[in-house]
Amino acid sequence: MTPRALSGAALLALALIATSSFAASRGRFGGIVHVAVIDAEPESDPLLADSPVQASVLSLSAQPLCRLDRNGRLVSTLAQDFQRPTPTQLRLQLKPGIRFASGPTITVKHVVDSWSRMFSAGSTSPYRALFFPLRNGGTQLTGAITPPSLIELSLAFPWPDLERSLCHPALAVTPPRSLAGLGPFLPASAPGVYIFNLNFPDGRPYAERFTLSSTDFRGAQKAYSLNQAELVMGGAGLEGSRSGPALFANYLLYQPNRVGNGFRSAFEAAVDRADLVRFFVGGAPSVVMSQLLPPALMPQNGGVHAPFPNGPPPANELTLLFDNGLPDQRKVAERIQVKLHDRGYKIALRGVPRSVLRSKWASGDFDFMLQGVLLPPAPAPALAIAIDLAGKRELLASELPTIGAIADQTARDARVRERAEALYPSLPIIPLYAQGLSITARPEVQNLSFDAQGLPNLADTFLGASAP
Amino acid sequence: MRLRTRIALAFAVLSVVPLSLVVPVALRDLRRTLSTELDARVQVASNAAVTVLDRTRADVKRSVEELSESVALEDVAKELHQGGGSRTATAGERLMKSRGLTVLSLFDKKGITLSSGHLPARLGDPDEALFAVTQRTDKETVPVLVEIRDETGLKKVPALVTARDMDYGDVKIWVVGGVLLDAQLANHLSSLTGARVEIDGPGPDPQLIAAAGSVIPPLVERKEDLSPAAQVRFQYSRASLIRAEAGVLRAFAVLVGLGLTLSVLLGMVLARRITRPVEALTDAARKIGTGELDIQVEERASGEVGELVGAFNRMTSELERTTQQLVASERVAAWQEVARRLAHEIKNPLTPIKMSLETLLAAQRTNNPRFQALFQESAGAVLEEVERLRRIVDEFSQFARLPKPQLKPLDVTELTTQILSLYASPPKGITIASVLTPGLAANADRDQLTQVLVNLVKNAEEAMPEGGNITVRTLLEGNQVAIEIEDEGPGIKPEDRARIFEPYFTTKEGGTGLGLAIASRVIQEHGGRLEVTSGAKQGARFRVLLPALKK
Repeated sequence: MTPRALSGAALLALALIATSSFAASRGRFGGIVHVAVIDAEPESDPLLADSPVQASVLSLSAQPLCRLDRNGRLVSTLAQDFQRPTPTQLRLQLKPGIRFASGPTITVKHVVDSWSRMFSAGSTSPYRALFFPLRNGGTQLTGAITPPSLIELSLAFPWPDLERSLCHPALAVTPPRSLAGLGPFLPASAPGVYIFNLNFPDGRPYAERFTLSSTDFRGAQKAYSLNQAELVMGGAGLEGSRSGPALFANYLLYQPNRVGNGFRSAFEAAVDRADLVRFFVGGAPSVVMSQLLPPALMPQNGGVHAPFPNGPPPANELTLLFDNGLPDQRKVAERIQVKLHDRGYKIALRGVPRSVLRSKWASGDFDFMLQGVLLPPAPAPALAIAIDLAGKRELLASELPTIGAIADQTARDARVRERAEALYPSLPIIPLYAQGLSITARPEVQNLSFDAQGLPNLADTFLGASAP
Repeated sequence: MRLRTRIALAFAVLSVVPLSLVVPVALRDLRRTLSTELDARVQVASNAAVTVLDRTRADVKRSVEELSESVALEDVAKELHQGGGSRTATAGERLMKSRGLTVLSLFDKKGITLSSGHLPARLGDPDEALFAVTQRTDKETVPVLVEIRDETGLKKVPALVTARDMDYGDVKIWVVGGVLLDAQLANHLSSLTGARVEIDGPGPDPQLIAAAGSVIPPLVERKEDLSPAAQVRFQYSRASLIRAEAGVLRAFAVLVGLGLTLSVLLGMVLARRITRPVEALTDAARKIGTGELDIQVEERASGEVGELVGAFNRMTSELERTTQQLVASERVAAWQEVARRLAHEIKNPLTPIKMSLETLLAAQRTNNPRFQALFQESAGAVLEEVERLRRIVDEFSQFARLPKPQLKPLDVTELTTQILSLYASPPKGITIASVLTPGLAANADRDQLTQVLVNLVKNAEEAMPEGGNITVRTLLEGNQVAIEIEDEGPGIKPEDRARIFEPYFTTKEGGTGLGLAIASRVIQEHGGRLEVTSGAKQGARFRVLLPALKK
């Protein structure tokens, strides 16, 4: 029996004799948590469910091997015994006896299959950079892993942040199509309903079920005020909302050969990031990004960079692609369209699903596009993702070994920031803003905390007594 | 041209001419009427469109005025007074929709966009073109170019806008609102006027902003000038007018066609009634010309034509009777002449016979010692005269019993060549030359024609006892085949030429006078004729003319 299960049993036994004050300080099992989700549709693919809201929702039913707690410490979920026999080896063990909710035991193959998808042609993801330190850039995971439960990862160079990388939500282990259940909750047949999972390795969660409903800001506000929702996730947050670190970084990627030499200079001169955040990115707690990594990972230094080359706008019409699942991106795209129009650019907008956006990014078939990625709370893997996102994967081979060679985390993070600032002008990527997840919870929702990734740990949340 | 055709044409002309005179006039009047009607309709539609634009201006003015005085705008001002907020940024869209406007920008006193309903992304920027409206003192709704966006980029679209301001303490908000002159308005105007409506941008080479409706060319166009931002063009179809004209023209054409057909048919019927007796008379006259005298015109006719037919029939009856009497008289006269000549011919030998026999009787009675010699001499003379009598009787019999010719297609030139071959060795002093046209054919009895030609050539030889040239020609003269035999003899006196084909007329010593008569009759039986003229130098030229066979 897991610790949480034991505590649940103890709670039941003690409930008969405990005083009311004693009972109020403990987690309570049961209850339905109604969640109003603002402007986000659920996404079952961890590689695509990377907006803070979607990642939070997906964390109910799919988990990576580990999590980082609010202080950045590694907490095992599906795997344990993380060991480093040598600096270029990482061993970890799947927790014994963990099963899908539908019965079968989870094997290393399930894990490998989940991870390998980010290298496949149809779902190439910028999160593949998390595996770049592995031999062959992580593209041959099967050969690096020993079944049935031991995972042994061989690195091409020392990379101390690999453990933290493995906790990224995009690396959540997803069950094969015929199976179900790897998170604390299981999706029910009714849409938006998640029921507690007794087979979850950490034991059953406190809440009996989560009921999610997608709505807009006004709908969420109304549901919350009418006591129809205990939690509101997403949006700018209602009064009294809390938010985690802003790690959902939004970039403008461009193809230099298509947009012309003067594009970056024109963009920097035309678009005020502060205006973007103040007027147009209203959907989530947002911060300006004037550096390659968001403020949560590196100071912004006022965004002072070497001047970019000037040049006339290209004669042809450019198309700006954006994620039509993110309302904020549409507003930002429209603002960019207006401001660059004033600079002589004729820009068409095209909103596409995130899968299409990623596909076009992978093939390089775009003029310029808005891309949001959920960066890990560790600067080194975050920089790797940003560089890969910029289309300069070849730089990883030169940048990452020197960074990984620094054993001390503080010194390593400092080196990362230094390199990020140095690389920034040469990469065809323009950081715009970073967003975090805003959550508003009614008083009866207790033990709600954010992890280092900025996502709530909903499995630990329980419904307490209502506030007077 | 035949009379029947002329009459039919006359009827056709009589039916077409009046219509040809009436149709252009009628069409001109119709066109004028329809044009007047179309002009009136276009004017009404254009007035309605102008009214819509005026009403739009008034609606814009009222909406913006109401908005500038509304509590909602006061709330925005209040929020601005308190330092601004997210509601201010989205106020433009909210207020624009609630007021039925398609253009709305809120500006601060410096012209910075506080919120924009039609272009939210313009927030925080100046919009000089739109803010310029706030400088107008007349507070009228004016056309301006407004920047809007679509998925393909930004574009400038004309709009009717007006501006009002609102003061809230130290906060001053300019409200500039209006409606876009876009596809929606174009649709409305098009459905109202029935015209194709095109809204064009400004400038000499205006860009098409919006269009609605479709009309069939040709077009008549009206313009509503909304300078400096746009002009609205209304295109009305003249197709209905053209269709009406075409319909009337078609009706006239059908009428003309029917009239023409009926009049031609009527003309032909009447012409037939008129011309049939005339044609029957013509046909009958032609037959009479060929000797067919027992002709009666059976056609019924009235009036003058009827009288003509009656007179003609009476004339033919009389002519036939007179002709029969004449023929009978002539026959009697001919036979009398023949009898006279025959008697004359027979009488001529009788005298020598009588004298020979009387001489013999006298010699016997006197026992003339030369009786034997006289007997021989007188018997020879009697036999000679008897032979002459027999020949006269044979030829007369041949002339009287001349058989009917068996006509068959015959190559006349070939026959002539064959006959001339009989004269390959002509008598001394005679030369025969031929000028023959090949391929001449006629219906003829080969034996009888051969007899005629042989007779003519023989006559030519006999006409030149001292020798000379005979020229034989075959040639085509119109629809007749001519065979000419020309000699260089003494020729035939003009006074004898009329009688030379009569039986027993001869200028030749010892001739019976029946050869040419038989030849002439044979050629007549062939439907041709035999004639004689003078030769080129002297002598005679006999010409056999036969109807030619068409190939």
